[in-house]
Amino acid sequence: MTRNRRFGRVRLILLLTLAALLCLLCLIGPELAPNDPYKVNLLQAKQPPSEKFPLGTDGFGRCVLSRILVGARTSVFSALLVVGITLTVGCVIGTLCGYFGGAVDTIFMRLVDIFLAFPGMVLALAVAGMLGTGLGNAVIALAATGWPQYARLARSYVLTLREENFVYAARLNGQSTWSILLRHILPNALRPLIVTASLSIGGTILGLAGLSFLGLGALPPAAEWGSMLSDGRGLMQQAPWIVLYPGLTIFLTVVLFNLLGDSVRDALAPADDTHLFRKVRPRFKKKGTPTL
Amino acid sequence: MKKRLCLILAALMLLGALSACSPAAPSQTASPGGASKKPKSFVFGVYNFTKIDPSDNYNGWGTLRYGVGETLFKLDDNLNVVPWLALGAGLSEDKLTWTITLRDGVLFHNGNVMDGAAVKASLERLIAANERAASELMIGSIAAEGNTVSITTSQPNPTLLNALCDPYACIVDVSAEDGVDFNLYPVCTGPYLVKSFTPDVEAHLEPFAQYWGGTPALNHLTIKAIPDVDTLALAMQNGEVDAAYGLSYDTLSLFSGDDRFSITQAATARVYMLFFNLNRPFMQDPAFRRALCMAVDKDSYGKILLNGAGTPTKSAFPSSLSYGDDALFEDVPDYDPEGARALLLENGYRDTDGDGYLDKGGQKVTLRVVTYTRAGLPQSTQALVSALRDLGIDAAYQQYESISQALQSGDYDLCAYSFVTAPTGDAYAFLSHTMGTGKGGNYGRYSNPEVEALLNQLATEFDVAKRAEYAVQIQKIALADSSYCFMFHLNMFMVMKKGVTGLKQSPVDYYQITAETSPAA
Repeated sequence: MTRNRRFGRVRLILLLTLAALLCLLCLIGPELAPNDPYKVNLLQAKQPPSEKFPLGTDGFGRCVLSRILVGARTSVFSALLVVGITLTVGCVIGTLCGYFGGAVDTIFMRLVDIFLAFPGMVLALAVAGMLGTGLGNAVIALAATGWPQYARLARSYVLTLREENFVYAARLNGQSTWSILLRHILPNALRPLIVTASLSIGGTILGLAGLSFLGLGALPPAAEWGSMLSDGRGLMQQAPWIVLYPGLTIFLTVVLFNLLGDSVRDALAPADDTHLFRKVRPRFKKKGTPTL
Repeated sequence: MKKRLCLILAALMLLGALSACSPAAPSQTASPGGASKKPKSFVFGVYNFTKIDPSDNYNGWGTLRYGVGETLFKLDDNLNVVPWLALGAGLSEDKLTWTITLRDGVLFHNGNVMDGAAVKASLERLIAANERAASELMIGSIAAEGNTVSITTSQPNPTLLNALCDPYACIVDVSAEDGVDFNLYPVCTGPYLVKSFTPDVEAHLEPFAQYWGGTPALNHLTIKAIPDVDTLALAMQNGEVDAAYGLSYDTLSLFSGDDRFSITQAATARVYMLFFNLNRPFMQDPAFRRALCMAVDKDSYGKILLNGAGTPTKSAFPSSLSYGDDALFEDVPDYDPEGARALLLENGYRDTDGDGYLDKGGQKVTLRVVTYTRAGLPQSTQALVSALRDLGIDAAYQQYESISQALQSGDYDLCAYSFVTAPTGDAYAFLSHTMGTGKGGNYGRYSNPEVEALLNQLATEFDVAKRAEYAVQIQKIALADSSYCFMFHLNMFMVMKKGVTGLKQSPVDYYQITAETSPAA
């Protein structure tokens, strides 16, 4: 193992640990919150960081730290949900289109072309605008506009894979279409998709925060990082901590997931050849050379 | 070598970026003749930029605010009716015909003379186009002769002169309307006339040299639309605008301690209130509504959320008016969250299924609370939603840019709204508009025969003391069963650069730019 790869592996483990810690924090955040994140107490509004309120209070007297901790679950898990949905939907559509081709492929790929022709955020804004405000609608909006990139990627890999000898071999071996798709094609196509998904987590967190900032995401008084920024922007000069800390939290989380995405990409990159991805060895090879 | 090249390029880009951030060079170079020849231009930043055909809905507010139009009468700082384009008015013995004498020498922006015939045409155009104006003015016929106009009302109308102060009654030259969109280029009599008007962006106005009230002080006036109040505050801070109207109350502290700016404030009749949608199941219960009223912390909203600019009230009208004295409305509950909780419990609102929310008759108490983006409204509404949730009511909050569609659809339980309750110095217009059965501003769908009868009496009563008495009675009835909740009256303010003159916040909120408005020297 070269020094670079060893460093890459250490970095990946470190970042995975941090991401796992963040997810844990999202899960237990409400228990860690020092104050009630929804309790409006106007007499304590706009208080700077203190012992009782470590990150200060917002314009309604709510504890900023408690709202960040409670909002973490909404912000991070919603983004993971969006990535999960887009990855699954895109992967299924792309795989089917790539493997079967024909009219379905043409229709879906033209649809993908249309989706990809618009800037993602603009399209998400339009969808969220049509669906109305609410975190659920924001998730749907981002998911509805995010799947095409995965579909396109999955299709391109499946197109290559379906012409591979091990796929021909599987066919000749009498395996069903679904078995070939699930056991031979999907595992090989999944790797680049996972890399893309891990790289897009950060962007999705930003996207959700952006929609909330614009009033199309989480509804007040829900604690969500983007809506916290939106709520506090009018007080940016008088009480900067109201926007500083949620902003910093979004920044650090996005950086963490982006670095993690980079590391995942490096870790999954082939070391011994110049292919974009390393093929998963078909299982039947272990049993011996198939009879052609 | 490559590294060095990259470094140089990066440094150049950084320099470019930094130079873009440096203060802009002055746009006007000093004239050789000295300061006296410097063109006096003025940029007025506003958060709600309206079109300006006075007869169209509430657009007349813009016509008056931007110094384009004028009405026959206006309201002074004590909300008394005083002549403006008119010199005075007299009433016939049968109390049906008002004879109004017009000011001599008033010209429209196109040079036409404003005489009785022109005023007649303008008022006829208004009542044909504006339902609210028609119902408030009650004009039966208009006769014009020379410089007088005789208005005969369909029934005795004691508030005709007040209604003629409303921005919708700006006098326009109807003869100039052919092919001209009066919403962009109205021909009026004010000190400034519109040169270009881009809706929702900006308007450029020029002085009207033949203005009857003297030469306007400015050579050029720009009305700039900046709907985001935080951006408007930044524009004021960096000198992009000379004065700003509609700033958030959070920004008051930014300007009050800064000697580069001055602030003009006035107590107004603008009330922040709650409409209860009486068509919704829970809202039909007076005890439930009363409990909601008890959850409104009017004092804190005014003091903290509006930086002290809100004066708590029980009445629709400010205490400076005889029918707005809080002492008259003792039955209206004060802020008492514990009392609200007890009242709800007493009336059968309990959390029987243990989900943390109250329910009654097997139905969870869920409310949809809506409001719109007027300074202070979203903040007050969010605080109220939190208070309702504390009571165990599942309240969801939604904020609109423009709320009219949501209100028409009726898909809400509670609406936080803001009204100027005495826009023409009288109670009738507001009470009729918001409490009259089926009226346009009656968003709660309130209907009460007793109130209807009193409104009819108020409509025709000339005696000021009796009018006040009717106004009090109507409010007492509507407030007795908590059909309305008035939260606070607003001190409104404008911020301007130090040295700006001729611009002050008016108690009625629609007199802004005048011929005397002038930038800092």
